[in-house]
Amino acid sequence: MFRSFARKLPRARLGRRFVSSEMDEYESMIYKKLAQELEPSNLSVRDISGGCGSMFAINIESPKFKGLPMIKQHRLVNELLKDEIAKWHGLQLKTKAKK
Amino acid sequence: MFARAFQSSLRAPKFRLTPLTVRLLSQETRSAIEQAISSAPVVLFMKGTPQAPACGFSRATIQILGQLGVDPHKFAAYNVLEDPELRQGIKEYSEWPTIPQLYVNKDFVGGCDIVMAMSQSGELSELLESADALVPEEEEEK
Repeated sequence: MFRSFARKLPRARLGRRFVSSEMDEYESMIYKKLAQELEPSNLSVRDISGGCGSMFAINIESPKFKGLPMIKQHRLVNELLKDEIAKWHGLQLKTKAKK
Repeated sequence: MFARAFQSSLRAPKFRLTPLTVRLLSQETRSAIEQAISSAPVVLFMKGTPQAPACGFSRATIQILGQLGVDPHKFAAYNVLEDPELRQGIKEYSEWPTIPQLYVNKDFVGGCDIVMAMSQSGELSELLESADALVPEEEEEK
């Protein structure tokens, strides 16, 4: 309980430069999960909450999306991140099938 | 008590789901949701009201529907913040984890990102057109 609270503190962000492509621990965790399951050709996970850690922007381009309508692509990602999304306020998701 | 002063073209029906103790989607909640999605050709479950959206995603979705010319008489919006049962229930019903959620002719269309992408590609216009949910053009010219 306490640990998960501690993780939400913007501590990890303090050392970060303003414009940085480096991800913090939580973003990396999400990134790894998606990378593992979707074998994406392009992937970015960004905390866009401005500090509280409950709003994310995720872009995924994956061959696994091929032939799926966007709603199915999104459902696939929603399912993979089900437990995380439940804790967030918002998710801005962009999916694309790798041609 | 609560100033429901908004006079608008967009309807915000006073729809309430009965409170329940179980978290799981019950038959009651399910049928109340079914009733809600059947209440108009275009139904949006959102945070806040069309006049005062309480979340950027809901705001963006409402704006898109407005820009595309959705007929207010064919539109209904439900504020999930007014009803925790609906807020949780609609997520389970649609099997979709986020709000807003758009339904057209009882079919789930998607959330904000999908609505946005579909409006850019022209798909949403087509869908709304085929559902006869847009304001007739001659009316718009007046």
